[in-house]
Amino acid sequence: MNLESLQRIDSRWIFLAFLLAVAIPIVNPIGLPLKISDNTKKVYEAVERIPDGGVVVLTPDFNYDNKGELQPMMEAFLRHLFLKNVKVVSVSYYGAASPLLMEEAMKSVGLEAYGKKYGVDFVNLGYLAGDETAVAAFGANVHALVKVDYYGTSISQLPIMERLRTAKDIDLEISLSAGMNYPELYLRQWQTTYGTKVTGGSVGLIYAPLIPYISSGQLLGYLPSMRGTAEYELLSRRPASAIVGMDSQSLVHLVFIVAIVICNIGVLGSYLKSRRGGAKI
Amino acid sequence: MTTFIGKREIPVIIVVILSLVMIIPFFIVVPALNVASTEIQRMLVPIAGFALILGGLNVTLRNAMKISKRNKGWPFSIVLLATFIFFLVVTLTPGLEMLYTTAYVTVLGKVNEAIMALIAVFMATMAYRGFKIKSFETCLFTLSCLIVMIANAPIGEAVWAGAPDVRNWIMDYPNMAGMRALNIGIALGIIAYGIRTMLGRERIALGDVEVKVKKE
Repeated sequence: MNLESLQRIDSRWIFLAFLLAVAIPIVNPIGLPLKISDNTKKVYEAVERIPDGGVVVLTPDFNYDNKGELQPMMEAFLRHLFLKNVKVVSVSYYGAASPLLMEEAMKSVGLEAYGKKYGVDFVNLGYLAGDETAVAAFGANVHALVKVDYYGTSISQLPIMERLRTAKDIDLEISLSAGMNYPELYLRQWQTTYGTKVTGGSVGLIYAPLIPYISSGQLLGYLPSMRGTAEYELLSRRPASAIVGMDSQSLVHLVFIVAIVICNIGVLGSYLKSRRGGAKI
Repeated sequence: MTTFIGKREIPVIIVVILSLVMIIPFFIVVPALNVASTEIQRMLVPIAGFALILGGLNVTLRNAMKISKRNKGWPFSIVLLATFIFFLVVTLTPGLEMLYTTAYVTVLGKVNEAIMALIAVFMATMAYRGFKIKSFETCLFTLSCLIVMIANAPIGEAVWAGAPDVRNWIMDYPNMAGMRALNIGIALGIIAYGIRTMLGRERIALGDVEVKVKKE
């Protein structure tokens, strides 16, 4: 067999393998065991340590393109938070889609199912333009910056907002981020200035650059992508879509690994041929 | 006659004063400066909102000109402008909130999701064609990728129990060392840029773009 030809497999075979790897576990789950990492335990403990009646600010800084990775994470956090006696304030600095995604998450989680009320236990403040400046202004004086919630209701009519005046009142900031700069904004503007505790989760792509912040203790753990969400769902005993997706992720990773190995067998084939023929690979 | 305060000095003085008002309260408590800093930050949020309006006007004008001159790709500009006007109308008209939400979620949301899913599929072929071991560096790169991928999936842990430990070592030591160096480098760069701007040496920040472009 000509090993060199393994470098030239038609892409369509890889697409087919990818499709099967995603579809088969959804139809027929494998149920592989999942080990919970220390990092996920840190995030879970940070949520558990929120004092009774405490205020949590949840910032969904992502768009529909990252919905697959971050929407299950947002729902897992909301389910855990609503089991506790805490006030949840949602605000985004990313874009117009974030409040819509929060609405979708609330429909899926169900505020009433936990005996919570909008305006008393939860509020959606929508999107604030201005990026880091808006984050800083929100931290300095929430009521000076925000006048109405996402639905146009004056925040003076929402009892939950009486508890939140500055970032000093935030007991935990949960950052759900599609970009590395967002958790950094909250660290710079809220934690450094007001001592706000920050945790959350991100897409897999930006998790590695955030590790120094976890190691330094600035981030109280940070969930990486769907894997982190699946572990969190398991830890909070509320299995949902991320755990279902883990089998598909396993097989897709297997497709990636097999593809890389096959390609490199082809590279080895070229190398052996060049050694025999004297040509350069 | 040359005056002490010239065309270039005025913006520099404004930058220096505003920068100091914003920086000092970060380190020491000066009540008056704290109030001023908070007020400036609050003022910047509506300004950012106006920047969005400016962006919208810019997009409209550029695409309208493209259509009128029948430049390459002008039919796409019609689609862009029609979508832009549609979203503007449904957002600003009271009572059309549901139409806005439906249009956003069912069109833009789904397109975004589909594109991201396609990227994931293309990454599979990218992995196949890109991770070719042809040198010591590519060998290290590919091996570390394989280990992290194995350890991140439950199936990898089931096959090789030690994979998470090796992954954690890669992430906590070589990765973190690189990221720390990068972050500190970026921070120092930002400080240097800030100081240069405050000293009036960063000419692009002062709108002196033309000179820079000509030189290049």
